[in-house]
Amino acid sequence: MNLVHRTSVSGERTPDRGSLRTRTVDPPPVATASPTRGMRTAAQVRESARRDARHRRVLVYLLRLALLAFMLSIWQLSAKYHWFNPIFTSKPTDIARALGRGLTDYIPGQLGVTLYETLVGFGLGAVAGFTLGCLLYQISLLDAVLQPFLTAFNSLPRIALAPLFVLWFGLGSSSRIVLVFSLVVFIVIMNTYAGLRQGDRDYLLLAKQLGARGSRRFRMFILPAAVPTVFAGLQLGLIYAFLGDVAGEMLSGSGGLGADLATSLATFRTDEFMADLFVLVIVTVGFSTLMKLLERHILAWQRIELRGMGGGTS
Amino acid sequence: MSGRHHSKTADVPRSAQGTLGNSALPGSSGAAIAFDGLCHRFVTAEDETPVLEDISLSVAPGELLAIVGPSGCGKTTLLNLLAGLEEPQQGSVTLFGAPPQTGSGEVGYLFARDSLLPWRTALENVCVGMQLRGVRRDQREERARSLLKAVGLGGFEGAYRAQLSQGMRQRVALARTLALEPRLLLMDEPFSALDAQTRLQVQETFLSLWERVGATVILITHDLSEAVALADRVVIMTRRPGRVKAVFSIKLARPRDLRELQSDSTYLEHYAAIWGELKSEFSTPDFG
Repeated sequence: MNLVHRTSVSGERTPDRGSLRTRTVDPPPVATASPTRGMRTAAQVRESARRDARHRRVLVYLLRLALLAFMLSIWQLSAKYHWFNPIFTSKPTDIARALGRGLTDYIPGQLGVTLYETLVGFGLGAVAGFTLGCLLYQISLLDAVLQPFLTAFNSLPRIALAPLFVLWFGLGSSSRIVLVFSLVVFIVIMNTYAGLRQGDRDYLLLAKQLGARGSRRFRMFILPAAVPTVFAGLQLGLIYAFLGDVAGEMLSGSGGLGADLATSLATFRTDEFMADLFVLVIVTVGFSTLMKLLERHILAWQRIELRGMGGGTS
Repeated sequence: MSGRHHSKTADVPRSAQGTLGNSALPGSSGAAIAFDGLCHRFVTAEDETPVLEDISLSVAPGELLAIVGPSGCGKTTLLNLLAGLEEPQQGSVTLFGAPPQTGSGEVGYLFARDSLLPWRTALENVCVGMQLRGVRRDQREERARSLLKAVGLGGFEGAYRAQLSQGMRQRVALARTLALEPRLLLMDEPFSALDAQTRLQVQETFLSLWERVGATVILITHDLSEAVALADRVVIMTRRPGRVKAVFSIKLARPRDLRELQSDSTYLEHYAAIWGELKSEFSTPDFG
């Protein structure tokens, strides 16, 4: 019954749709008029595109600010009206106060320790990882022999090794530097190796035809293609470096912001804990951004490649 | 060899120009390239496929030889043998009186794909080969600049690959190949990836540069009109295994105007004659 009813309805509608179709074909005069009326110079088109992009950027920033304000006020209110126990969650105003106090007191010193360990570990890990990645690519025997060991070491839960490193290297910075190193080095090895392996056959053929061998073949035809992948590894490694170092400090509790995180939480100073976390997030994002800027500088060609044609040629 | 000294309306015979341009050529052998009884097969773990069979061919210095044949007839293998990228299995290949070697600097190879390095600007791409030869930076850049201008890309020195069209990329590749002043230029369907309009432009650029330089050229193509328009001689190869089926001398004056050529009666006669020979190779069931 229903079905029949529907078909009869659609049957009734068909002439309607037909008239719709003719209507869409109908207005050729408008169609021909619009390009002449709407004709704009290239400069105007560019200008309006730029304006649209600017408007969108402003909108995005405003929405972000609004979202942040919303989250902070929910947090503040939940503490004020005891939706949650403020001993566990603290509240934004307290955290801001704790941050203010900390910045003139313990934070600079502890942050210095954390930065020292993280950056030294990261730097050593990055250099060693890059070198080993290149060696693995160049010496296929080494690659064949080491591959299973690398996979095994890389799947090791390194954070679990932190106490072991403390046992070996003591409570000082060196145990954390080793921890950070052990995290970063494998990430960078893997990415360097993968980047080198993806070398384009066309480039290799060109290199061969031009008679490029050894280090020049490597430097001119293989390594540049791997740089984007290496940078991706460095970005990831940097995040892991901060993560590993703070975790190490929390475990050994002998210095750095991580140690302070552990003690402030143990003594229910949640505001101080949150303030420390805030500092860590800002610092990590800051270094990550620095790395991105360096990458943009070195890999100008890749941005153009990804953006495609029309990126200005002069 | 008989087709080499074909009659020409140009003032200077091509072969004479070539010898002038290549004064360092050892006088013992007149030919720039000689294939003698060359056979080649692809060997895999399971089986082997003959690709080239009994190729005997010689090319005069300064000659532009086009090789036309169906897909898979071993044309690219011929070039790879000349570039030293592959070793001859049976028979011999002689290049300026010696076996070919990679990176000799005497051979320029223009691939079907431009293989420009995306992290280098157009100028830096043209410099690649010269850099490997140890040419000083200011010298190689000056040379690269003038070559880019010659291929019609003045002003694009700083452009990266992604900022260049297909035709422009192949011009950069052409400039890169010519930068080393090769005595032998190997071209593996270098214009096939381009649309008709761009192809004609790049062909014209190539031809005018070549007419100035006078290197020996082996041009692989599956486009018969291109072969007839550009070459001094056209070699027709059979389906796999590739054999030399016929060799035609193209009696067209140089310098040639590619746009005028399409209505030139001599050109059309050549084209018709060669197509008659080639047709049977293309009309086989496994090709169509």
